[in-house]
Amino acid sequence: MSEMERIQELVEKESQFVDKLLSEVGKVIVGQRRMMERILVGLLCKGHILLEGVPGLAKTLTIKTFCDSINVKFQRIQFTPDLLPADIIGTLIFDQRTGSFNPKKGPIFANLILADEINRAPAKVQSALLEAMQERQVTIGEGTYKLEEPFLVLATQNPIEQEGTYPLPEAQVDRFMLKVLVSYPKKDEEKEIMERMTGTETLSAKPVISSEELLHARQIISQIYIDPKIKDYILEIVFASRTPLEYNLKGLEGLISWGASPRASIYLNLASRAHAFLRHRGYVTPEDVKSIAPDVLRHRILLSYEAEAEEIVSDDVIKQILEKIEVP
Amino acid sequence: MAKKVFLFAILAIAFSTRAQNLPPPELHLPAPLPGATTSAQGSTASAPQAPVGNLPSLKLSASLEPLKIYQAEFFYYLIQLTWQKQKDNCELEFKLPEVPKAEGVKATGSEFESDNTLKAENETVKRVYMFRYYPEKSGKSTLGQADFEYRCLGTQAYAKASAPPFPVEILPKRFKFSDLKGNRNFQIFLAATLLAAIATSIYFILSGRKKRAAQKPVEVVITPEQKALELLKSADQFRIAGRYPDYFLGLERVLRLFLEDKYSIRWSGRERLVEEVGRATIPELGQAVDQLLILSDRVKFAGAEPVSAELDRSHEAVRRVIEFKNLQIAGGGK
Repeated sequence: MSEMERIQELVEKESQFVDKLLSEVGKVIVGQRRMMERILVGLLCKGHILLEGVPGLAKTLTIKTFCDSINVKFQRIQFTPDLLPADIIGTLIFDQRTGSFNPKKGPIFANLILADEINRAPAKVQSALLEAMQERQVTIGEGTYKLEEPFLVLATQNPIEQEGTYPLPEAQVDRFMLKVLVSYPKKDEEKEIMERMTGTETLSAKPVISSEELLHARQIISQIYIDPKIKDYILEIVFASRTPLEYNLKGLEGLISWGASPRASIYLNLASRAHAFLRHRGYVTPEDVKSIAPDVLRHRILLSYEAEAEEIVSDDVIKQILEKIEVP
Repeated sequence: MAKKVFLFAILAIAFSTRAQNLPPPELHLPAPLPGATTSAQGSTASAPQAPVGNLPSLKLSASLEPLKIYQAEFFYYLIQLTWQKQKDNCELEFKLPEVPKAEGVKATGSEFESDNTLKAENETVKRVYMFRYYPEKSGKSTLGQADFEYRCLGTQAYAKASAPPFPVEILPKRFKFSDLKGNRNFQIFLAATLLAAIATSIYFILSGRKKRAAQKPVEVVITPEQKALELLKSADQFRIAGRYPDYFLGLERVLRLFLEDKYSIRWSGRERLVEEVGRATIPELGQAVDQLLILSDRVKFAGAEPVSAELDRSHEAVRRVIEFKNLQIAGGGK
């Protein structure tokens, strides 16, 4: 048996939980398959996710259902302007009996964190969360505490109400592996939602995998084969966002202020592998890259004022890049 | 008046510089009166019949204008009478002369001009008669004798001076395009020529088109099926060479071009493509394409070595999609 066949067999065996998990979440959530797959990609790649969508699109419910299905600890933090860093990471509490300060861990000590409306809290709170996301550890007083794996932050942003918000700085947005746009459900999906939510039955998901299984799956992701041609394809996409003229993308001239960072190449590689895993494949195809590229790149390509004036969004730019770069 | 003066000036120049080299006219002059001066050869005239008063001595010269006379073109016969007016000379009074006649020449008008020149107390008088003719035919002719009768103002009797007959050669009619304007035969000829030219042009245009049409290469219509089968043949070269990733790349290319040409299906992701192929043909073919694409990805991006049966299956899948015929439509069945 060749190495490739071994990986393929391993992936086919270990990725069986994917369908079970998505099916279990699907018992509660109607549609939103793309969002569910992206959350799974984040879980498999240790990448945090920024969800953007109008209220009422089941962002919170989806994450809660995932937690129920994976059997991990879930915490939701509603970000408000008066929130303090200690409200997230924890603080030292004076114990009168012992006369000493004891650490009181904050809600960040969980496996799945839902940072709801992250742009409503001031910068110091955002930084505290983002630092914890990056370092995967928290310092309270003199003690440093590791965050338990799996650790994944899913932050949400509301794109319509911008008054009194603190938009995340680009450097901090870059720390999110994926930015997923949550869209409205289709008509037939919404009909199903309506019937489910107005019925008497309380919908809930049961655990179908353990956190250990999830961590094991992460090990397999790193073994998934990615051909040099695919690596080159990823690099071409990222470089085209930086120097579009070199790739004959004349239509993008003057529209991009800053192209995607090297984090984009890293995350595109990782996310493509995870996407292949979701499809039970032991190797990455260009289709995996194309599928995940918009979610990896959309918050990493900064558009110019000209683009904003012409109402061009980063998704339009990514679409053009993907259409232009030759698929291997 | 100005026109006449201008004409006179021209005639004066003509007399001096361009006068026809004509034989000197033989004048029949009256015997000079007592006290009258006789001018030089044949140029003096005097009253023969009981003239009254002191008449001056007249000189007479004749010429044609223009020098060459053509049939159907007007010409002038000019006769100039010149005399020196002395102190004792009387004022002359002329009788209107008769227009000299000639065969084949029609007189159409006459006029005269007088001019007095005073130089160092010498007054010279010139009187030019201009007879206008229209030559009706060509050949030689002779203008008849011109008689001029004159007398002293207030007297009764006339003196007479005559210009002898003047030979004229009328050249044949000159061609003028303007003459053709009113010529009916010419108009018919012109119309016929024009029609012939138009007919010839139309003939050449039509025959040129026929020639071009005959020379134009016949466009061979290549159907999407023929094109795809040709490409499939060229892709087989990679299989023979053992270049399997290139072979599958070729198969995908054939399929992509054919589906775009035949069914306007755009290559956008495997799952969607399989669905669309199944819809355009039959679901079984959609499945066959799915298997082909999965194998193609494995060969291209996972380094898999396809076995002969897999290669045959892949080739067969592409060929079946190309050669698929919608039998329900073709057969017109239920």
